[in-house]
Amino acid sequence: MRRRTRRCRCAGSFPAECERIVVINDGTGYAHNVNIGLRLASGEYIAVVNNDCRLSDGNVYNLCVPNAVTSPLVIGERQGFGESIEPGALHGSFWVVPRAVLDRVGLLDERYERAYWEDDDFLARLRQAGIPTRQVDSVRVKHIGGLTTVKISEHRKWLELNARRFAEKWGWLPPPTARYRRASGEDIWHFCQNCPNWPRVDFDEASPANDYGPDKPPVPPGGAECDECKSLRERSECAFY
Amino acid sequence: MAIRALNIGDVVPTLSLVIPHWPLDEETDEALPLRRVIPRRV
Repeated sequence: MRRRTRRCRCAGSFPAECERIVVINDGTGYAHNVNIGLRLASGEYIAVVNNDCRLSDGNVYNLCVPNAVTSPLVIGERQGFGESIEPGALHGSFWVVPRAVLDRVGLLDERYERAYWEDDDFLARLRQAGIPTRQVDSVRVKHIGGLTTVKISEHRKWLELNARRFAEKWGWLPPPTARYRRASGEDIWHFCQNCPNWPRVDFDEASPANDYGPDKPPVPPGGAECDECKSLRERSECAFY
Repeated sequence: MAIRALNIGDVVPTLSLVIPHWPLDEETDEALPLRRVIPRRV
């Protein structure tokens, strides 16, 4: 008997008129797989959407911004799984690129085998080309996270190998990503962009104090986590920063 | 859910969805209506 599991309904959550291209990763790796889809896509804009994402609210066409790469506000079910590589802007699980931008910066670099770091590389090339990235908060997406690569025991080796490739290519590695924000002069750290007290002006940012991962939640960099953020996390309504 | 429906006269950009899919992804395999590469304009 086939096991009943959680439903995602990724493709079905989008407007009917959108062209849908589902590309199966047959072992060739994420970048190669996505590139197959990017070559097939005929739209003026292309959304690369992980299959554990579904559109939950907002007008997806608001993500179509000329000369910019956009992501929606991504609401994650599980902390530490599939986090943004650029909090508040680009999210690797869901990004929309104008065809004209792709023509300028090119497809994903397939030298990043299997998975990981191809999105960091793409972001670095966007920066190099002067193309901005932007989060469009009015469009909301639910992201399950952790359904694919983290189930493969070798995924940590892929992370390390592709990090080395990135460093070889660019000569640098990105600094630790800030995932916490607190209002200046306050002790409480926020990590959810849905929090009503999320600091938007006059704030400090910091990365987690530990080497966190799927089985090890991030530790705030000193002080305490916001109770409202924690409540949103428990209810799977957290837009992890 | 406020996904947009098109009305006559609307001018919207064309949007393609590229959904990378992993064969081992049992959780979502069941739900997706499309499970193969769609060879458009190959």
